Amino acid sequence: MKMKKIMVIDDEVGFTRLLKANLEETGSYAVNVENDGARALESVEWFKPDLILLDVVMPDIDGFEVADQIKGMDAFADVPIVYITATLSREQADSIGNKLKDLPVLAKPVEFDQIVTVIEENLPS
Amino acid sequence: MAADSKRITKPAVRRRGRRKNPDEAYRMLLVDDEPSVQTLIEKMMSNFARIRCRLDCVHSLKEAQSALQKTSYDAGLIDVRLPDGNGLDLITYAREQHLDAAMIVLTGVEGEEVNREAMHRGAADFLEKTSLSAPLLERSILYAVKSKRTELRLRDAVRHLHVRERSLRQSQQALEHTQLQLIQAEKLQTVGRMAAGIAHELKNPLATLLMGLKSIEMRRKNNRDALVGAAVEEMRAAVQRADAIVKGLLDFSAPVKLQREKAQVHDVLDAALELARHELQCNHIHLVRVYHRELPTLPVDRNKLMQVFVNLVQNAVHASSEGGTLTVRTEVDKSGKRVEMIHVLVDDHGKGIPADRLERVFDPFYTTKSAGTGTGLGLSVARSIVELHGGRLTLSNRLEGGVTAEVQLPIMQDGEQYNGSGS
Repeated sequence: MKMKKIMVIDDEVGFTRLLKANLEETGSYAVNVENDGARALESVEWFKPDLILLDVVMPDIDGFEVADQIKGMDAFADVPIVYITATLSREQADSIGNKLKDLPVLAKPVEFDQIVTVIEENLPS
Repeated sequence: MAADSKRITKPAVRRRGRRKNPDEAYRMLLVDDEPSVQTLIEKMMSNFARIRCRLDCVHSLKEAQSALQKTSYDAGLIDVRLPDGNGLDLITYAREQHLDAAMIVLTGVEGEEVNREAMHRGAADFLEKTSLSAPLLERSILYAVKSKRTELRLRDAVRHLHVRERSLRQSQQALEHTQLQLIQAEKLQTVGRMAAGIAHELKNPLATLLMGLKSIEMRRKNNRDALVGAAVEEMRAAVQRADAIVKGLLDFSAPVKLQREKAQVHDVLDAALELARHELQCNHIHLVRVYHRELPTLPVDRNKLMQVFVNLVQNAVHASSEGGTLTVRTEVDKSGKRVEMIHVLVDDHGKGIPADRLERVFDPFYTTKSAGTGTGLGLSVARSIVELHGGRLTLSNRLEGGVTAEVQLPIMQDGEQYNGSGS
């Protein structure tokens, strides 16, 4: 089975490093991490992710704008994006149907298993 | 010259006279045991130019005292040497009895010493019998009465001032109290805003910790070290606890919006007790439910209200000793047939809360529990939820021991606003 390529865009360096390690440990994913939005937009072009985990609150370019720009690239308009954020509580996420601006959202702190579940739900078959 | 001075003084006197009804006579009391003095005074008074007097005469201290008690005199003329004592004692007596007569002392040969003593005790004037004349007596009476009346007015004014001062002081206290409440509210708001900020900042490191624990767990398959397993478990529990505190902070600081639906308070209460069942069982707490037979349904936010009840029950469990009893009661206030208020009471049989802390326990971050077992936010959040329902949440110590937590929920009539100012 071909490994799925997951791109993690989040300015929390410690979190992204461990998330990448865990995802790779499963043996199912190849992971690329970017800790700032501008570099992430460049990396998308060559990494060609199957799914993007995207933080909302980041310095310079926030998650919403990163999402808009990626959706604007013809080649990547259909890549699923999942927000992962500390600005919402789990209850708040529940109450808005676990969608933020039409995209699925995970509220930090989130269990790794939950992240994997949501990745699998949103990966194109 | 003499004619001039008369013309000048006359109008002035008339003006003065107007204060008292011109026809009204001054009520005078002469206290002297010598009949000749009485004759003399009566004669002089009949010659008074400006005032009329109505004179009563008594001959002893005793008679004078009872006369002063019976009649409200404008002034007394008092001989110093009376058969049953010193006339000056009458001045003291009048003052002590709050009698308002001005006292003029008639002196004989006693000299300066007695004059001084008379003034010291509060006499309005002293007149030597030997040099008495009608104009002198008249002047003395006039000024004595006038100054007495001024004194009385002043006394009334002072009394009035005291009353005003007291009411002012009360207003000031009320104002200070309100100000304190405002400061408190302001403080809570600031705390709330800070709490929200801190909560968000805490979630990222918590997420990292959780991810790191997962990393360790995934690698642990190859590591049979029991300590590592225990450490991971404890750390995971700690992260969850920290997350619960963060959630509490956000609950506390977020402007809560209620989602009301008609519900039966007993159902909400039962659901809360179900959630707390594990805790009750673990501590072997015996639960007693004393429900009012019929409660009306109420538009409430079921989940929020349940959170309140769970919190109160948990507090009661923590306050109880193992094997204790916890009573949950419901009662109603009725006006006629209509239920106006529902009371939900949770009684524990613990040690109670010192009176000075009964309000403090509602302050955010105030906790009586040991570090790590409470967020110090439960009751703050619970109270704000109840208040959003227009109700009240109070704690009180029962005489027989233990604490009662009471939730009062008002029943609103159809069409009434749910703003807590109901009928």
